[in-house]
Amino acid sequence: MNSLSLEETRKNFGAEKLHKSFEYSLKTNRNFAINQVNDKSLSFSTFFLIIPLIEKYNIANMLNIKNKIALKTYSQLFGKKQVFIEFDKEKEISVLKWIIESASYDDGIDDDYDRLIDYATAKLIDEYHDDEALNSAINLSFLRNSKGEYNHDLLWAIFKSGNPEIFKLIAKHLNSMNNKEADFSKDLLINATNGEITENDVSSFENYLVWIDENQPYMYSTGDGYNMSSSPDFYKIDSALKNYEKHKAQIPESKKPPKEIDKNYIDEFLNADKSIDSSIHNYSDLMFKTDKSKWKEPKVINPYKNIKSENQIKEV
Amino acid sequence: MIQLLQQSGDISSILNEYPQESMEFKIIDKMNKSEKKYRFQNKEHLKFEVDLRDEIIKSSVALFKSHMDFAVFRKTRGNPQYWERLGNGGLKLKNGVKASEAISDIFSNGRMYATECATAMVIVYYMAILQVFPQELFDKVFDNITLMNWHYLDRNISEAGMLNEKSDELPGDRRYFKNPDVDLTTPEWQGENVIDLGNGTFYGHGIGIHNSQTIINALNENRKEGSTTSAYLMEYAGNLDYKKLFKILIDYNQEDAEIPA
Repeated sequence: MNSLSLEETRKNFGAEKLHKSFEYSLKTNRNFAINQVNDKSLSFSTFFLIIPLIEKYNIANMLNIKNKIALKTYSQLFGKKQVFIEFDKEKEISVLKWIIESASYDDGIDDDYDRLIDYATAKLIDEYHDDEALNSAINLSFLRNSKGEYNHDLLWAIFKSGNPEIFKLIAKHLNSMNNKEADFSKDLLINATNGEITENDVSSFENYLVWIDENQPYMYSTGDGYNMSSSPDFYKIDSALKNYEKHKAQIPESKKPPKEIDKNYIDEFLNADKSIDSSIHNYSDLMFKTDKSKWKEPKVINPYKNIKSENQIKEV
Repeated sequence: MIQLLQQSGDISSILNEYPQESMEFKIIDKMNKSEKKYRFQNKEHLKFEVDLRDEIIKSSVALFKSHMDFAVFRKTRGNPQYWERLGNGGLKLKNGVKASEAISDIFSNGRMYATECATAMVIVYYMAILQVFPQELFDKVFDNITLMNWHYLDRNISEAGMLNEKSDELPGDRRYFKNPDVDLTTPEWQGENVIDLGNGTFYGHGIGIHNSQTIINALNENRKEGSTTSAYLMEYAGNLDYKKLFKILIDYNQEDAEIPA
């Protein structure tokens, strides 16, 4: 009987020896084999490689809960018959993290393995909004880019997350001494925001921080990806909101409209039928009804068009 | 409205060159009746775009009939006689192989190939251009091509990778059905690239030739459990840069004319 653990067998002798050794154990001492696979030190990569044997020898129900959840995840992705198991969200998150942790050193061992890593990552990001997974996913996408391997599904999951932290995590690579890594970071950040960014903004992490701090509050995820375009707009900037906020910041406090009608103001303005005057008058009417003390006869034609400097801001 | 910048003349004379039931007639008629201004250098430029759009439609149908399989990138297949399979699932033209032969092989031996939907669009474009360019020109211009969705597009067709707001729906346009709530186990169903075939149907590799509702229904079958957010056709269209390709052809013809016999 092989005294080495499955993990040691794989690392020292490779996948083929792992298979032979584990199958021998299953044939000659089933309990021993089950203990081997339920060993706490087993990595997901090793577990993945022996899944065909687990299925062949029908030991799925003898697995510990971690392995059962991992097997269920595998079965969900590849359309196989699933193990019946109940588990809570925290347990599943823990297993999904165990899965993607292995990718940091074993990514690329098998196409189906890589696909499972993508799926586990997407689940953590999209269903569980796990921030740690985002960092792992971004690092993995850079690793795959460096090796010329497929990373589009991973990138799609990352940008679909809607988590604004991804930009800084990606931008950290701008300062890399590795040109390929820095270029990849630059491409992603330029693509991320429908081109509303300059080369200078992405020339360094420090420059980018200035840009992202200004624009992040107005960015929203589109869910687009490389499937539809060579330069998908992963995110867009809400220019109307940004300009409105910029304008609002320039209006003296005493002349600002009451906060509760700000949203109505934006909606009114955006829905105006090409007639800004009509919007202004409607707003004026609303303001008159809300707070007569702050109401004045409308004079401004279009707060967006006429903003050139503080001195030229007119009151609403 | 169609405007010919270097020529005066009446569009109806161009229309009369095509049978009324033809796709070319339909395209010109639609452009001419549009409020948008379609500007062309001359009649030949207009006819080039129209012909190329027609070939895009024909190539779409031909690729559908080739029985090329659908596959996610990690399972891409290609004929190794012509294509080298890359680590990311792309297919790179082998050294010493003519692009015209390699592209044609996909249509002749479709069963040896498997790609996803965006790459299929690129294959359609190359085949269509091969129908309007002399083979020698095609091989010279596209001597180092890689097939992998909208990545690695040859610079002469790079515009095809962009989707832009559209005013009209023209036959030969590339369109995109988006599936916002796609099931995470099938990210390849996040959307479907299609060619507008000009008759109320679209060609999308992996789904086939169908009207928009059928395509939407197919995408909706691949949503997260319990989702009620439907897939939809986006109001954008993608196209080749017809003007750029026309210029390449004109320049080639002029060079050819200048070479003494």
